[in-house]
Amino acid sequence: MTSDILRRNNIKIFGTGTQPMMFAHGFGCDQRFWRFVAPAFEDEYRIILFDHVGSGMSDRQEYDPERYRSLTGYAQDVIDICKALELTDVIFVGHSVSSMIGILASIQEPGFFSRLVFIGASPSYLNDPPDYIGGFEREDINGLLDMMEKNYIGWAGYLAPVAMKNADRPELALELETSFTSTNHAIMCQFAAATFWSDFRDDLSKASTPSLIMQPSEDAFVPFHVAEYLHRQLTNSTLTWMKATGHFPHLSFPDETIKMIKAYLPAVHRT
Amino acid sequence: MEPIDGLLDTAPCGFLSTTSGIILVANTTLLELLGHEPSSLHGRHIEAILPMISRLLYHTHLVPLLVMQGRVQEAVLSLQLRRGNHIPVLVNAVRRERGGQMVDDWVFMPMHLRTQYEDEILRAKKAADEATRLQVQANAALKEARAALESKQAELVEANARLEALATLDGLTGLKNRRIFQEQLVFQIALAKRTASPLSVLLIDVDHFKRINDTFGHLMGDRYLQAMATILQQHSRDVDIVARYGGEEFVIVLLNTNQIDAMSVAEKLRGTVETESWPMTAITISIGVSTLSQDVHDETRLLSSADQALYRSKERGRNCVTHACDLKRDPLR
Repeated sequence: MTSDILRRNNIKIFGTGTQPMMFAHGFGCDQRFWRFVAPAFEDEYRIILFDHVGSGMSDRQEYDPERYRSLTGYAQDVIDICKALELTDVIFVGHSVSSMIGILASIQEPGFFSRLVFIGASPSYLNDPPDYIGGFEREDINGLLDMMEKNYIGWAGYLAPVAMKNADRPELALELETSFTSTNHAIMCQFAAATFWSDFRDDLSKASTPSLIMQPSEDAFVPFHVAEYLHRQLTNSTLTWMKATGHFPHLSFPDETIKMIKAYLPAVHRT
Repeated sequence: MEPIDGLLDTAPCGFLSTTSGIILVANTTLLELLGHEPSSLHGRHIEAILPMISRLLYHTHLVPLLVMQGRVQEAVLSLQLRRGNHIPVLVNAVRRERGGQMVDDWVFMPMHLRTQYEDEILRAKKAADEATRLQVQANAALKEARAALESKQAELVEANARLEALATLDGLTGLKNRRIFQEQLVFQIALAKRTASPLSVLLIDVDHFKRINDTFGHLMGDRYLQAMATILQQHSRDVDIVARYGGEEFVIVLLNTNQIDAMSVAEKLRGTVETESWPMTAITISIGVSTLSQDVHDETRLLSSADQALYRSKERGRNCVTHACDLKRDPLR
């Protein structure tokens, strides 16, 4: 069971500390996105990196369209990982969509988590005027999903399976089947839909784990009032504005990201 | 601003260098395509030339690819013209270190025509998917309709069986009716002749039945007839044909039964009816018996002679049995 989950989510563990610190990557990324940030914590914490199923080097055979139709499936994976590794007192650092995944996991198993850290979090991307401006209209998200479909699958992707149905050359069809490319693309499209159509605003009040909301300036995905909304709805939350710009401060501005997380976490007494 | 090679500056593709998303240089082809003044993009974020949806794609798809694979190949997105419209482009990009920083080099190829074809193919693909979906739906409906048809057919077969029963059975007593009795009698006579086996008929009439109807009503009359049918059925063998001949008249065809045995069966029936306990008033029956012979060799003669024998039983005071071949010798005749 444990080894299954280790393989499923391509889990990597390192660091000399005892308290677990788990980093969860955002949409379209994988655990390598933490490479400038995670090592800064390895002396004081036990670092856990993983890939969401369907991303990075995760086991794509484990991808179940039903389970991952919603972010709750990904949250269940985080809980599975905590159980498999017998983690408690976890500091969970989530980027983008993984912030909501962390919140959902902490609602279900509050005992597993001590702190949550969010970078570019949004409980819902859709505008719901007049009280909530997620940043996007329905047609924006449809346009994005269409364009993703074009990029991930594209006309060639649609035509390839037809072209491959050559009865006299079955090796072609076999080749297509064994390549993960096509399934991978379908997974990314479903993950995108699960992410951008999600609306977990009503769940925020159920979360009780202390959290740090790190909001970069000029985040294309998260308008600043979404960060303020999140701060208002989450009890025990701290909101900090980053000088860093863009949606990937942990990549482009790792120093500020590290400093901010360290300032938030209580001092660790080394043994 | 970085110097740009003369050939690249006017090459037939848009070219852009960025670091952390900030534009370092753009070639003249791109500036002209988008309608920007020379060096007007320098220092701005690449988002400046991306419409909203492409901006999102840049963050969710292109940046991750550059980080993870160091390159973007054949991505599709739109660029924002300075005035108005978007223009679809094919994008290649590569991330490399230059002058101490990570630089992304971008190449954009406009692709109006390809996008039109692609949109048409995608539309056709969606239409085909929808057609397939409808076909699957139609097949399911067809299957359902066939199941319904089969169930209707089964009902029809059952209804026909019921109808057949109604056509061959007497509604009140459940005995065979006169029509089917006639049919079977003809058949059995033919069979008896061929196998040279004896065959007899009993024609049975309830004595003074009109009195029961008149005194106790027709419902009670019906109950008497039903009870009579039950007695006749119980005292016959499975092979015998018991039928309601009409009104209060019944008939039994006794297969493989000669005159003596037929008379004994008839006498036994008469006795049973006489001693049976009836609800209102006791009744009796009169019976005429006839047996196949050289003279009596078809169903008409068999039935008419049985009828004459029955008539004789009535004349003899009812509650008795007469065989047709005793008629000539009978002094009353």
